[in-house]
Formats: sequence, structure tokens, C-alpha cells
Amino acid sequence: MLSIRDIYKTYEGAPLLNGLSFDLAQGEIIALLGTSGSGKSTLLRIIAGLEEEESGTVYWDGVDLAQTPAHKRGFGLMFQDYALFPHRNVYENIAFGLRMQKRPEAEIEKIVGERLKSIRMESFSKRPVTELSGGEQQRVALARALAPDPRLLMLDEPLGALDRGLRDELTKELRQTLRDSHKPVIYVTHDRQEAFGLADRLLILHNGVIVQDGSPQELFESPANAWVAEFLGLGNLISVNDLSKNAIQEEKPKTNDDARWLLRPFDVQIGVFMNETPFQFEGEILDCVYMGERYQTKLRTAQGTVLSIETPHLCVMGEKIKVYWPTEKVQCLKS
Amino acid sequence: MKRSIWQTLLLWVLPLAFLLIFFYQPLLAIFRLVFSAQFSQGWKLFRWSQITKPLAFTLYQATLSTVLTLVLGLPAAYLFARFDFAGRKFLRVLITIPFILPTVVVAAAFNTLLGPRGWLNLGLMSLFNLSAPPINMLNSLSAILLAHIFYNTSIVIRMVGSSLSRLRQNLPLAAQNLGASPWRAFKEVTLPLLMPAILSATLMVFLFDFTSFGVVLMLGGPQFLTLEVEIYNQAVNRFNLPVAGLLSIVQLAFTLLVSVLINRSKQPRYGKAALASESSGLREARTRWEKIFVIVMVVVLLLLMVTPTLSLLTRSFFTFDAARGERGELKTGFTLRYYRELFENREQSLFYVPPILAIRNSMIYASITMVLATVLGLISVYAIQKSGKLSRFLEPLIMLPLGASAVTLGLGFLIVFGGTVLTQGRFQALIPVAHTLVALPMVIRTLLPALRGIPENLRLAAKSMGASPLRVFREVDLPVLFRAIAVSLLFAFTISLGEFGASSFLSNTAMPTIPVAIYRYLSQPGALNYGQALAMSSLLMVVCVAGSLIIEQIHLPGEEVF
Repeated sequence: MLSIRDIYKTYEGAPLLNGLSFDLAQGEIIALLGTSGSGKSTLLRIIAGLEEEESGTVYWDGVDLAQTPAHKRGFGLMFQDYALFPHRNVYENIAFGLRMQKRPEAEIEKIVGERLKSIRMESFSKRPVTELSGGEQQRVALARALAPDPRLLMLDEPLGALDRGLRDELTKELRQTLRDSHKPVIYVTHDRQEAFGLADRLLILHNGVIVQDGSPQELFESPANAWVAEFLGLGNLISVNDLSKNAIQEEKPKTNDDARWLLRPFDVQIGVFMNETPFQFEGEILDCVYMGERYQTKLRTAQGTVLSIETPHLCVMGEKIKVYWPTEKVQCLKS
Repeated sequence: MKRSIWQTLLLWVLPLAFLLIFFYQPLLAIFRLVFSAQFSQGWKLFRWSQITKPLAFTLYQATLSTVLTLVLGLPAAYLFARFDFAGRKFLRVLITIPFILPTVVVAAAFNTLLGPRGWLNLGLMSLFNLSAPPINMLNSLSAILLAHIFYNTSIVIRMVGSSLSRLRQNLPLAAQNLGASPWRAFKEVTLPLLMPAILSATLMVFLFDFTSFGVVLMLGGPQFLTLEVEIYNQAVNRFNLPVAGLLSIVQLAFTLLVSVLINRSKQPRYGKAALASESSGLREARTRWEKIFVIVMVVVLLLLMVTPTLSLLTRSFFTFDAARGERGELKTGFTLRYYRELFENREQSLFYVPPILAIRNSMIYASITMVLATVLGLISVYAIQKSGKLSRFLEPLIMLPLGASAVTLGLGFLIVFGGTVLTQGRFQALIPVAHTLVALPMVIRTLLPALRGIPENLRLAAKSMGASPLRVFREVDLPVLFRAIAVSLLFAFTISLGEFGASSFLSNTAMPTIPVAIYRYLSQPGALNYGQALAMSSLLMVVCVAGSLIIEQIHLPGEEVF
């Protein structure tokens, strides 16, 4: 359906999107993950035709969209600040796209009614949008984007402006709405929990390119590089210098200095010292927090590295313990 | 508690007494005069056409001026809100200058551009070797319209431009995303969201055009009678005070109506939801049409908004006596003669009054006004702040003089004090009083936000450490208010220097103010008068521009003073 090829765009002289490409299939929900300022919103605007790419192409069903202006693309975009029209009420906001399509008044009324019902806001129809709460605004913005039946839906950090509790609640609701719409969806966020919870596929945007593209499981199990693993918060990333000297002497790791090892907190073994692994540490407990079933513990090694580990029991602060990771559980990643 | 209420009421005494004596009493006198004349002689005293004709012309010229100002101002607002181009900031500053100029300076400036001795005619005459000025642009409706455009375009640029540059960029983009063409998005989203700003700018411009006095009097000539000019005319030239009074009442009614509309239009029901906290970035013109737009706008703005002042400045240093048809040698070129003449008392001068005397008078009046307005303003803002809910009734009483025109004020003074003070030759003592009334609303608008910005905790903290109320004022309020007070002093000073309407009523022939003297010099023939008028106008312009630049530099927090 949608194909993005070699999109290039600079921001204040530096490349923001640096030859970025990906594809999107019918009915697929992808999450575009990246830090703030990585160009996620710019990419959405380019796809929507609201901003111009410096080079590269956006295709829809094989057709180059370069000559198609924004208002003829039929791509729905939900803005990060929702961009609800303050001079129009809830009904008029949702009806806007339908009016632009010159639908008959009766049909507009019917569709807006259905949309309001689906977000459980039937009684809000005549309300000014400026009197809505953040969550209500988010719902109206989604209803407005969906009302004209776009062939692609793009959401720019739709939950970014809301507080944590509301976010968790709306993530579920949003997931249902997006599944029910059967539309291809691009969901932009910097929050990995949101992305994992909503998307079939995750795209990680870094330095202007997609550094990894895969299912949540693929990303979780085999991150493409150390940056991805760190961004997704998969575990401790350590370099050669973080290993103890006698560990190196015993078994020198066979990689170059740039490499990082990913040590996942739940793979840690405590106490028993196995001589075969170089990933063994002795250290002092800095912190220990109960997270339900297990404890999240911070350990400072003799080399000064702070490691996150999961422990089955409460550790006393300042306590000295020994831990190791079996070699087969440790992944070596490019930095 | 009781004691503090009395203290607060005590604060009101001085400002209210001042306003009662010098504003409400004259206003009431105008009403009384008009209605007593009506009772004793019936409406026969007035011919309806005496009222309807100036009213119709005032509305006509104000509407026309406003429409033309919008025609220039709206694209100019768009230019400054969207595009970056070389010299943008400088042009922006140049364009705000006309708004702060006294009316006589504007009249003089247009005179030096379009008048019989102006650059345009001088140029054409020397080019085609003519003996008489070929173009007569003065004393025409177009001169009035041009001056009004010159004066008020910056209001549109400022009010609409700031709204446009702060309009959330996503709103029209969202409309496009929902299927609206760029033009449709502009019509459905951008324009309606700009409407409050456009509407209040329009009303503001209309109000200024409606009450315009000096420009119409000096550039329009005797055949163009607006309400203001006719009030002056009836009162000063014909001494028909009842008709002047009735005209004043009609004028006041319209002014108040428009002011109420302005206040309403400023607040859209959706508040500030359409505006971002910061203005959006500028960009360079990209397409061919954008480049043409920028170039055309810059040229038009330079022509209409900058050439008049530039022409005044240059002409005041330039002698060109060929037009006089004198037999002596033709003198052209740079000269400082006009400025030197300011300090010389020429016996043969038509007016007996050397310019330096007018300058001295104005300086005295401006200094008194500055102190009087700032002191009264300070007392008033404390009274407003201390009295809470009560201030809702009292504050409008103080701000109302803003709605009355200076000419009405002058007329009221003439009626109330004319009999007593005038005969004793001390009538001009009222000039600083009138100027204070004109300046007071501006001073209060400057001081009030600054005073409201002082956290009460600071005062409480000082009090808890044992400071007396006077000490609290000196240690807490004064340092914070210092900049606002400086701005108020400057405001009052420059307003007084440039004020023409009330002064033209009150100053006697021997003791003119600068604007009154310029008016007289300009309206009389003679190369030297003309030169003196230009030199004085240039000086006045420089002082006003310097004053406003300093005010801009001090840059107070809070609402814009308008």
C-alpha cells in the first residue's frame, strides 16, 4: 500500500531524515519509535503532504504522490496537539472532513452521530472543544481523523499530552478502535510500552534512518544494535572495560573494543561462581525495589559499573554479592 | 479593617476631584449649554444639516480611510508575520514611527512631500522648468486619506500581525489534512481565527480616523468639515457654542459606542486557544509570486510610510527659493538656516513670536504634565488596586477621558473657565491640565500592570521584618515600579509635546505651544515661516521618536499599551 523510499530532509542544515525507507501493508499497524527530535513528526507531515521532502518518494499503491496535494491524499493525521478548531464545537470539528467531501447533510449527521457514539460522547455534540478535558480532546481528534474514512491513519504521539493513568486506560481503547477500523496505521511515539501494546510491527528511527524493523518479539529478542537495546531498555550494556581483569585473562572475549554485551536483568545468576564465563561480577548492593514477584536491584561492581539485576529476595543495602551471566544468555551487539 | 477602607477612599479623593473639576464639569457644562439652549429656543437654534453634514462626512472619510488602511495593513501584517527578508527589522521599526508622531508633524511631513513647496512639486518644476507647482495634492480628500493610511497602518500590522504570527500552525494544516484546499483552509480556519484581531484593529483604526482633527484641519483645508473640525470651527471662529456642544455630544456618543465594540471584539469566546505561546518562525520567499509579493509590499510600504518623514527631515535642511519668483539669485542646496532661525527673534516676523518661545512654552507644559499625570496616575493605580470590587465602578470613571476627544475637552474648558480665567490672560494655565487628562489613561495603563505584578508576599515579608508602610513603598514598590514610572513620565511628556486639539483651543496668540506654532507657520505664506515650521516639526519628530525608542527599550512586562 504505502511505500516510503529514500526520504531525505534537513533541519537547520543538518540531515534529519537521511534516506529513509519502509513499507506498510493493508490493515497493518506499525509503530514508529524514536527519541524526541528524531524527525518522526516531520516524516508524518511529509507522508501527509503538509511538508515537502528534499528528495525521495512517497508511493501509494505504486503511484508517486509528489503531484498530489495534501488535501487530495486522503490520509488522516491526528496531530500531537490535536489541532482541534477552537472556533467550532465538537460536532463541527468531526464533521469538517465530511463537509470538505461535500457529503449530504443527512449523511454527515449520521456519520458524526456514529463517531460520537463510538467515543461515548453523544451528549458533547454542541460543546466548545476548548471546554474538553485532555482525554476528551484526544477522543474527538481521533473521531475527526476517522470520520472522512481516510485510506491511511497516522497518529502523532496521540497520548503524549496525557498523564500516566489516563494513558494506560486510553491505550487499550485506542488499540480496539484501531483494530476495528481495519485501516493501515502509522503510530508515532517515543514510549516503548505504548508501541509494544499497540503495534504489529515496530520501526526504530535513529539518525534519520530506520535502524530496525520487526515484530515486538523480534526486537525484544534480537535488537539490531546497542543503541536499540538501550533505547528499548532491554538491560545492561557493558564494554570490555567493565569486565574484571582476571575474567579477561581467563577467557578473552573475541570481539573488537566497540562491541557491547547485553546482560538482561532476569538472566542473572546469583552466588555460585562459574569459571567458564567472563561475565562474572562482585559488587555492592546500591538499591533494591520490590516490583511484584521479584526485586529490581542495583549493583555496583568492583570496576565501578552499575548493573541492574533481578533478585528473588530482598537484598540488604551495602551487602556484597557475586553474580554472573551464563555465556549463552549474553548477546554481543554492535554499538 | 474599617480604617483601611477609609484610607483607600482617601486615595480616590485626589484623582476623582481632579477629574470632577476638569473633566466631568466641562462635560456637564457642554450638556447643560446644549439642552438649555434647546429649552429656551427650541431646536430652531440648530439646523439639522449643521449636524448631519459633518457627521455624514466624518463617517464617509473614516470608513474610506479605514478600508484603505486595511487594504495596505492586512497584506503588510502577512508580510511581517510570515516572511524574512533583508532589512525586515529596520523596516518594522520605521513603520511604527508614524503612529507616534504628533498630527502637526504628519501634516508638515505631507506638506513637504506633496505641498506646493514639497519635493514632488519642486522636482517636477525643475525637471520641466515650470514656474508654478503643477500638482496640488493638499486641501484634498486624498491628502487626508493618505495621512490616515500613514498614521494607522501600523495598528493593523501590529494587532493582526501578532495574531497571525502566533496562530497555531497546525490548525490550517489539520484542515488541509481533512480535505480542505489551502484556500479553503484559509477561509474556514485561518480567517475566522484572525477575525477578532482584524475586527478590533478595524474598529481602532476607525476610531482614530473618526476623531482625527489636526490632519483634517491642516491637510484638508476649509472645505472638509469633520465633526472635530466643525466643533473647533463653530467654537473658535463663530463662537457658536451650543452648536459646537451638540456636535461634541454626537461625537462622544459615537466614540463611546466604538470603544465598547472594541472591548467586546478583543475577547473571542474560545479565549487564547487559537494562539501558540511563541510566534512561528519566518521563512524566505520561495516561489516567484511570493518574491513579487515581498518586493511590491516593501516598495509600497517605503513609499507610503517612510517617504513623508524622510521628506520632512531632508526638506528642513534644504533651501530652494526658485519657486518664490524672486528676482535675486537662485539659491538651492543644504542649509542650516531654518534651524538657526529658531533661536532668533525676527522683528519682521509675521507672528512676533519667535519659535524658541513656543519651544520654551511646550517644555514647561510638558514638564508640568509629566509630573502631574504620573503623580495622579500613581495615586489612581494604588486606589484601583486597594479597593478590589469597588474599583470596578471607579476605574471606568478614570479611564473615560480616553473616549473624549481633545477638541471636546478644549470646548468644555472654554465654556467653564472661559469667562473667568480667559479674560485674565491665564487661560493657558489649563493647557497642562488638559494634557494631563489626555495622558492619564495611558499612564494608568502603563502603571497598573506593573503594580499588579508585585507579589503581595514581598510586601508582607518587608512588613514582617518591621518596615513601616512608607518604608515598604520605598524598599519594595518603588524599585519594581521604577521602570514603569520612567515610561509614564516619558509617555506623558511626549503626549504633551505633540498634543494639538486642546492646545489649539487654549493657547493664546502670544503663548503658542510647538504644535500650535507649527500650525500657524504652515498656514501662512512665506519661505521663512515654512522653513521654521519644518525645522520645528523635525525636532518634534526626533524627540518623539527618541522617546518611543527609549520606551521600547525599557520594555515593560504586561499588556501592550495602546
